[in-house]
Amino acid sequence: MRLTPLLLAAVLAAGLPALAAESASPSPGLVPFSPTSTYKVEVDGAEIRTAEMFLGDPGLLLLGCSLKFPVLVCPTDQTVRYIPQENVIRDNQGNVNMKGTPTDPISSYQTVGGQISFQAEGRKVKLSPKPALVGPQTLDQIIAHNPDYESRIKYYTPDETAVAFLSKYARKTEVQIYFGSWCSVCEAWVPRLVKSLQTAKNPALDMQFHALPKNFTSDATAKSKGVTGIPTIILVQDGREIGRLNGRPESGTMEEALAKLLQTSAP
Amino acid sequence: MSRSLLRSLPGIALGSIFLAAGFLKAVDPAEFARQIETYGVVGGRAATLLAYLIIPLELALGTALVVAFRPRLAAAATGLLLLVFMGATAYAWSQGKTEGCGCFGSVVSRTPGEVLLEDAFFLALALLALLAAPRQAAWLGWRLGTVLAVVLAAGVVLPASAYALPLDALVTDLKVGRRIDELPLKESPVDLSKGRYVVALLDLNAADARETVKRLNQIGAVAKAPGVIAFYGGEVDEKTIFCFNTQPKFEVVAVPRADLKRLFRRLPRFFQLDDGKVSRIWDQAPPRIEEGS
Repeated sequence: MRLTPLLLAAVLAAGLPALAAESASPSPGLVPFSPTSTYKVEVDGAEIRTAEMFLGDPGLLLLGCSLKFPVLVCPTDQTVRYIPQENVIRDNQGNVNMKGTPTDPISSYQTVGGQISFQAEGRKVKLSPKPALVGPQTLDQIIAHNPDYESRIKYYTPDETAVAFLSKYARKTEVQIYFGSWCSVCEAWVPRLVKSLQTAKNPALDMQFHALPKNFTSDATAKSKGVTGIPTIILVQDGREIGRLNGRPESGTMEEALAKLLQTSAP
Repeated sequence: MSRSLLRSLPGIALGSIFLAAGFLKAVDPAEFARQIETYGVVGGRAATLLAYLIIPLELALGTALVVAFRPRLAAAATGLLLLVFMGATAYAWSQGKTEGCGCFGSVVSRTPGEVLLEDAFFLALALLALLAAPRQAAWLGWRLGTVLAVVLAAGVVLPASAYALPLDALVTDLKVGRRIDELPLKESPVDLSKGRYVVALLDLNAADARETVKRLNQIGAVAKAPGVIAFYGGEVDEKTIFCFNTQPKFEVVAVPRADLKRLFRRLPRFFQLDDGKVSRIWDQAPPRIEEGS
C-alpha cells in the first residue's frame, strides 16, 4: 500500500504529457467562419462583385475571387494563404467551415491608407471598406453594412421618461433620419434614437432612414431637404415638416430632444 | 489716458492676438502643419516648412505691434499676412474644405465663414493700427531686442522642442481631475462615468498601432482589469481595416477629429477614468499591465 502514491505519481507522470500534447494540438474539428459584407474586393483594379467573404478566428476567408483557391488573409502574421477547395465546407445556414490547416504563406499583405493589398498569382488584390450607403435604407441593411449599429442599439438604455412620452404619442409621424453610414456622430446617436423608438413600440412613430454620401452638401436629397449637417431628424405629419433635430443634442439625450420637439411642435 | 497710448491701442490689441495665436501654434506645430495641408495649397514637407516659418513671423509681428517697434511697417505687414490667410481660407472653402483655419492652434475651432469674418475684423484693426500708429521713438534698441528675443524663444526654440515640454495640461482639455462629461467623448457607447476604464486615444495609421493594441488587449485580459476603450478622430469606415489588422478586444470608437484634438498634441495618449474622473494620464505608450489594473 505504501507504493500507492508512487504508483499514482507514475501514472500521472506518464499521462500528463499525453494530455498536454492533446490540449496543445489544433482541434481536429472544423473552424467556423461567418459571412461578412464589410469589405470590398478588387483584383487588378476591378471590383469582384461575386466575391464572398467570411470572418473567423484565423482571419478573412475570400471565396469566388477568380483566384485558383480560396484565400485566407491572416492578421496574426499578416500573411495570405490558400485553403484547398475541398477543405472549405459550406453549411445550410450560409456559414462555411475550414477543415485542416491552410497552406504555407503565399505572400504577406500590406496595409496602407485603410486598405489591405497583396499579390496572389501575380495579380494585385485589394481589400477596402465597402463604400458608404446612399439612399433609403432599412435598419437591416444598415446593420449588415455596419454591424456596430446592432451592438450600439442592444446596449443602449434610453431615458425612461422620454420613452414613456414617445410610447403614448398619438399622431402619426414620420421620423425621417438623414445620416451617413461613414459618420462617427451618426454611429453614436442614431442607434440611441432607434433603441428609444423600438422601446417605445409606438406604431404611430415610423422611422425612415436615408443614407447620405460623404460629400452630402452637394447631394440632391440633402439639398432638397435642407440638410446641412448629420444626423438630421425631420418630423413629418400629414406630409408637412413639423420640426427637426440638427446634429447631436447640445445636452441630454436624443430621445429627450425628440420628445421635446414633438411636444412643442404639435399643431 | 495719454493720446499716444490711445493711438497705440489698435496695434497693442492686434499684436496681443498675434502673440496668442503664434504661441498656441508654437506649442503644437505639427497640428498647424496638418491644418495648412488641409487647405490643399501645399502639402507634405512644404506645409511643415511653412508652419515653422509662419509661427516666428506671427510672433515677430505680434511683438513688434505690442512694443511699437516700427509700428507702421508691422501693421502693414500684419495686414498683408491677414490678406494671405483670407485668400487661403477662401480658396479652401471654395474647394469644399470646411475645416477651420487652425489660427489659434487646436484650441479654437471655427468654420471658414467665421474665420473670414474674424480675419476681416483683424484686417480692420491692422488698418487702424497703421493709421493711428505713433511715430517711431528715437531709441529702438530695447524694442528690437524684445522682438528678436520673442522670435528666438517662442518662434524657433519653442516649436522645435514643443513635444518634449510638459505642456499638454496647459494646451489640452485632458487633465487629471477632469470629469468625463467635461471631455468631448459624448459618442462613447459605454457609460464611462461608472467603474474604472483605460481610455486610449489612437492614431489608426500609426506604425506601432499593432503593438499598442496588443498591449491594450493584455490589460483587458487581466483578471479584475479595468475596461478598455479606444477613440480615434475620423470617420467610421476608417476603423474597418484597422480592426481586422490589429484585432482589438475592446471597442474602437470614431469621434469627430476636431473633438478629439482637444485632448492631445501627439498620439497615442492614454488615461484612466475612475468613476468618471481622470485619475492618470500616459503619453505615447499604453500603461504597463500592472499600472492599468
